[in-house]
Amino acid sequence: MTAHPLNFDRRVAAGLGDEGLQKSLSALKGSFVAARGRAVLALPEFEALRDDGKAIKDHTLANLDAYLETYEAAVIARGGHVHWARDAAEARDIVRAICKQAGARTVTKGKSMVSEEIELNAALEADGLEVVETDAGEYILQLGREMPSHIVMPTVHKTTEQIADLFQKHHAAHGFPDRTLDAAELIGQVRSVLRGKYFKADVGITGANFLVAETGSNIIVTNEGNGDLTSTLARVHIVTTGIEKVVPTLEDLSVMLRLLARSALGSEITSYTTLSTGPRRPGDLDGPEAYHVVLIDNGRANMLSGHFREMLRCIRCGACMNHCPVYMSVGGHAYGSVYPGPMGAVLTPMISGHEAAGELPHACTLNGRCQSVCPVKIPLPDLLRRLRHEQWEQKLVSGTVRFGISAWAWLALRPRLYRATTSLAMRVLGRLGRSKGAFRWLPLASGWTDGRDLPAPEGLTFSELWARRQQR
Amino acid sequence: MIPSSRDVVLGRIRNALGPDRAARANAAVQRRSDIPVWTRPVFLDDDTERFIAKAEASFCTVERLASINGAGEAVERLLAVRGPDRDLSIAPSLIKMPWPQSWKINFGAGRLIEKVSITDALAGIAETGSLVFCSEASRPASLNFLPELHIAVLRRCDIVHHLEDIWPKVRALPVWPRAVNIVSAPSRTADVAQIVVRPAHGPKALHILLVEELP
Ligand code: SF4
Repeated sequence: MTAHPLNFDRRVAAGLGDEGLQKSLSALKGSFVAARGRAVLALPEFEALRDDGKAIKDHTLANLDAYLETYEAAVIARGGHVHWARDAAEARDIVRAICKQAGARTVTKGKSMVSEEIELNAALEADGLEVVETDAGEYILQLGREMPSHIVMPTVHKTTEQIADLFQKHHAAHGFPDRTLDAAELIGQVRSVLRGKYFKADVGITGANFLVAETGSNIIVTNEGNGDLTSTLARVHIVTTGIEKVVPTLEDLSVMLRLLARSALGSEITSYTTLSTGPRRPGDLDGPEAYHVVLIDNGRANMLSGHFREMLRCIRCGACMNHCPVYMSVGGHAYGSVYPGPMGAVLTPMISGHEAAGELPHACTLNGRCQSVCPVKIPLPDLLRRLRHEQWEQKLVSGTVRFGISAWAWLALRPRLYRATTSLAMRVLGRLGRSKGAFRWLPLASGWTDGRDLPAPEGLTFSELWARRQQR
Repeated sequence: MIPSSRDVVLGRIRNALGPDRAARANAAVQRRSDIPVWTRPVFLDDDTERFIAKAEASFCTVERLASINGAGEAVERLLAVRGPDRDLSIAPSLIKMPWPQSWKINFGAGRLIEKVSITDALAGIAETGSLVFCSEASRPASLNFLPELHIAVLRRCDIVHHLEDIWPKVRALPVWPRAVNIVSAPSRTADVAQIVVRPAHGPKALHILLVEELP
């Protein structure tokens, strides 16, 4: 996974200044955040389900080798093939080899975050294949040559106008020469352009929301139906998935499905939930002739030891980002990784290394909302704190920041001097800011004041106010 | 010898999990027979009523029929607005039903242009108002996704209470199906500016014929 978080500052500034993005993000609050709230309220058992979901994932992860072997045996017993990939490069090579063996020319793809993680499209295109994303959002991004900015709503950053421009440019050749701003017409174009591709596809690639060890099935949930057309109509179905997606039984799957739809979209269940298991059976009139699963490690097995195992419970619902004040201010592209928001800030360093992840673990206010909405109770703030600590230990924190924090630590260890310094600073700032109550600009602090005002202090420090209160 | 990637990945996992490999294998086997009873949503409504209410809330339409023999007429009424053309795809599992002679019927897999299809569901789920379709030789999965109008036949006695209650029915099939499709609503997307649009790639409308009995 190519992560570019090194330019985090610049991307944050771009996100904050992007009016369209800011509008979309506040719409997200009104739609999906509100819908999740309603769905959770409507289900008194939701808290108990979160505990169950956590227990299911903890049990599976604690016995992961056994469940992966059970899963593999079940896939093979139903005529499928299982491939294991150590890292992204190997995963790409496996998929390329299957495509080559199938004599493929056209590849359709359902939405798969793992395929983004391993940068599959570029590799297949380099082999001369026509790769077609079929999820409407992913299709739009493919035309625009962009990364998703959200794991559930990949186009959340795009305005209708931008999509209209993109389609006018690319769809004229398909009989849609006119620019339209009507969402239904735009989606109608996607439906019409892609319909023939499903039938033409030699290989259909999907991800997996879950794998079931008992049956050897991969599960995809969609509202569009594109994933099913992809997996049903292509000659070969390839599933790209992380090794952490497995759950033991269909009963466990049922719990996870209840959690996923509510947390991701605020629905009780998505339009389509499909279990695919192996190739078409003898006599079947449709379905792929061959079924392959690529089980991808890419940093996950190492997370099993120690604290970051908890992150492997993640079911990619996106609730943590929808409830994150940082994500909701700067948008997904600022993170420079296919996994944005709180979950991405933890996962990206695990997959791409601490160096690559740079500032991400610091893009967090530790307010804890992500953890409180996470359907599998991942302690995201704790994990982010731990990452910050590891970065510090590995001396990966920048010189200026190191200097600042060290200076503050030096001062904080000398209480008298600390009190004198802060008290002076509060008085000065308090007097300067008295008339307006806030600063729109401060020397050396434009990083703060460009995006928002700095409230002026009242003139006294917390310790002074506390001392006064105690006296009363 | 160079270790296979399978060995490497499983080796990494075993390194992290510790030496007790046999205990883990045992735990996984054990789990198949002692499946924990997880929390399920409690609801007391009548299953049929609940199924209908939930399906309608998800933009499906539901029509109750005393018998499958009334299906032809029901579909005729539904298609009246579409003009005289009657080119449908029907799952071969329903080939023996009394469909009108005048229809041009494809008893086969879905086609590139597919206006209307009729398929039969293995079960309905009262909890969510969902339909469950299992693919097999006479039940091509593509018919559930390709048409503009998908008509599903469901026997009332096949409505189960919870999602979990469908698994014993699927496990009881002679062969585990290639595809188990749980369908809960017509196709939709919100990928353009979060505006909900129906349909995306699948059916625009889902009409459920809830029949008391099938011959
Ligand atoms: S960390 Fe939790 S809330 Fe965030 S995507 Fe993963 S499961 Fe959802």
